[in-house]
Amino acid sequence: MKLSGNKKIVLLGVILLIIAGIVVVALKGINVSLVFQQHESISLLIGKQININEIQEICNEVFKNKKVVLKKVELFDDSVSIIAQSITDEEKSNLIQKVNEKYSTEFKVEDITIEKVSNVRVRDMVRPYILPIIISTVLIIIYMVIIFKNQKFVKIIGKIFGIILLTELALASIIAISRIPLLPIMVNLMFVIAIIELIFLINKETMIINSEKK
Amino acid sequence: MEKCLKSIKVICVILIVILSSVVAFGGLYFKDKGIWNNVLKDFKLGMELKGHRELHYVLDDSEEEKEVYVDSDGNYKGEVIKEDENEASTSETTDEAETSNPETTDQVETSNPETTDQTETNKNEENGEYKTETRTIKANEDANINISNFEKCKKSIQKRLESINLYEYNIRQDTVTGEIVIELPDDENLEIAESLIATIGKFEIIDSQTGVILLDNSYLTKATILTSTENNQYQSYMQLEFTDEGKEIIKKISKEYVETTLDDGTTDTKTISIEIDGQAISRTYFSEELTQGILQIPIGQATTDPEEYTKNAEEVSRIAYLLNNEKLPLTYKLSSDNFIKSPLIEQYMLIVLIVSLVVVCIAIIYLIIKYKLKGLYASIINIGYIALLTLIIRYTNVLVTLNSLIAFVFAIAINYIFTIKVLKNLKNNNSKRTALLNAMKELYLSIIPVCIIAIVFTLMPATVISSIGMTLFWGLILQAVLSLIVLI
Repeated sequence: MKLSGNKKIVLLGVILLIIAGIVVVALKGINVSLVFQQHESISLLIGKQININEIQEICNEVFKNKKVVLKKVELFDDSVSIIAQSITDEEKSNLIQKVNEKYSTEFKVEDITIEKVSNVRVRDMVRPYILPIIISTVLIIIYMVIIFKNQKFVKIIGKIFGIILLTELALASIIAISRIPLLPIMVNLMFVIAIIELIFLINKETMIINSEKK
Repeated sequence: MEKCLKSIKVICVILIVILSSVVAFGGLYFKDKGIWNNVLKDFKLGMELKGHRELHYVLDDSEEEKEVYVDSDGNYKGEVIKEDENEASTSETTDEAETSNPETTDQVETSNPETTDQTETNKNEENGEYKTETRTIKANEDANINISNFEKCKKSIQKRLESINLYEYNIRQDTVTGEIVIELPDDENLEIAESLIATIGKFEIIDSQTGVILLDNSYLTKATILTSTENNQYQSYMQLEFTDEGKEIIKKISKEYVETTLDDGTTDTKTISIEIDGQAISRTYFSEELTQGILQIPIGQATTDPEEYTKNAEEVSRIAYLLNNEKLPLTYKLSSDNFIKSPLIEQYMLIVLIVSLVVVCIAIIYLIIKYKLKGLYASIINIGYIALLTLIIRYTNVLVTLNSLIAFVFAIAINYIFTIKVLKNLKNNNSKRTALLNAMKELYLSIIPVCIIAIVFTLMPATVISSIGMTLFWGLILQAVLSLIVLI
């Protein structure tokens, strides 16, 4: 396949980006969202209605630059789970002191435990999507074979899927390099981008074939 | 006349759009006992949006001293039933069996991983071929607590949840302590899911009189569900099939555990207890010898109520599933169960709504500026499309997750692109019919891959996947239906 000058530069850029992404993943791993990572949590049953923004302010003071996720526990808005990658005893003690001051509670440091919560494996999250994606891909390839049957369909299909694969890898590399926390929704967004790209490329190829016929 | 009809049609379409939009976005209220209630079906929200239950399971560390049967190799063969316990339980059965010192069956090779450290041996007491001794029975034997069994438990739990089509869950396991945290949707399946997680799947046929284990999982090959209908009543049965060795044991059991009439006219009944995880599901005796080695156990009461029968049948099918699959190598106990609210609705919903509204407004303004009155008309139809699609999602039980919301936006985008194609065709002085038909032809040919994905995803058993497909599927169907209505 012959590529023009600009396309060569773009391809080279994409390949470099993918290599950089692979290096980052190899060295630092995928930055999975905190709630899916191994983390530590403290649960506090405050006993009166809490404002999550107030708790967030306390956490900002206690955990400084650490990423913290807050979750309300149960239905009465009086209990909160504070999640951070790691919680030291000093942070726990500060947190309890500030919460006691704010809500006039009487939590004791020794009564509150830091709970270690394991990670959710990425492969467990993506597992349900594998079968439908494989079936859809096979059916789409069959469809493409039908519409491009009079052409060099292997070349066309290879080109379309090659472009999609490169784009997806480039996107994944951007996510890996920029250290954006990976959420399941991002995988879905990448899937949507792949579909849009597929529609666009099929249309483009069809138009080229039609114009060649004319 | 034609112009008048056209105007009426336009007014009708606008009114329908306004009505459906008001219903879809505002609700449908009726007064019931003085209170206005929204009768519109709620969206079925996924756990990312609705919140979830967080179940913490820890390894059961309980231990108890018990008098047990052991064979000559020291293998656990069952728990000795004390005389008073036996009398109390036999009095609940139909035929009281006076079995103070019954015979045990032929030697049955059973093994139980839960038997542990031998603390005290009392070899003078014997029951049939087994000795009795006092042992400390641990819920989990120390030798079984290892990473390989942790992994096995996790996989089994995942398989069990997926057997009831529950794919919307997160599972975390601590590879050091074996602790498992499972996040599950807080819906009608929660109770079933909890029972599937906590059940080990240990199957035993026990001599009700003595407590000796006659048969266990190792002899079981297949469990299936059967239904009998007699006098318009439905009865669920679990049919158990055994290995060749198991068949022989069943044959012997069926000969021995029968009701016999004594010389003085009274009856003596020897019964067996069929237990799962130590819970008796049936206590029975045999009226004839089972030569085929197949056991059919009635579960629940015979009923004429189809709903009750379905519930029973589902329960039997779950038990059968557990028996057909490997039992959990470790015993877990629930240490905490909390409902975790989703932060998305509270923290981000307003922002998402504002952004969506702004995007929709920009899209409408673009259509109006570019295509004037036709653009306004098309915008109204687009709003109607969004409203109707939300109503369809409500009533077709589509699970609303973040992923299905992406599919929802995608469907709206396809409809918007279609609208632009139609308006472009109209601008090129095509008739309305030609403009619509050309746009439909062009659109549907190019979105065949989307149709394939929509159908494949819809047919998947996992609701998290099928909801994506269903949202796209209904979006495409509605788009086609609306196009046909406008065409007519």
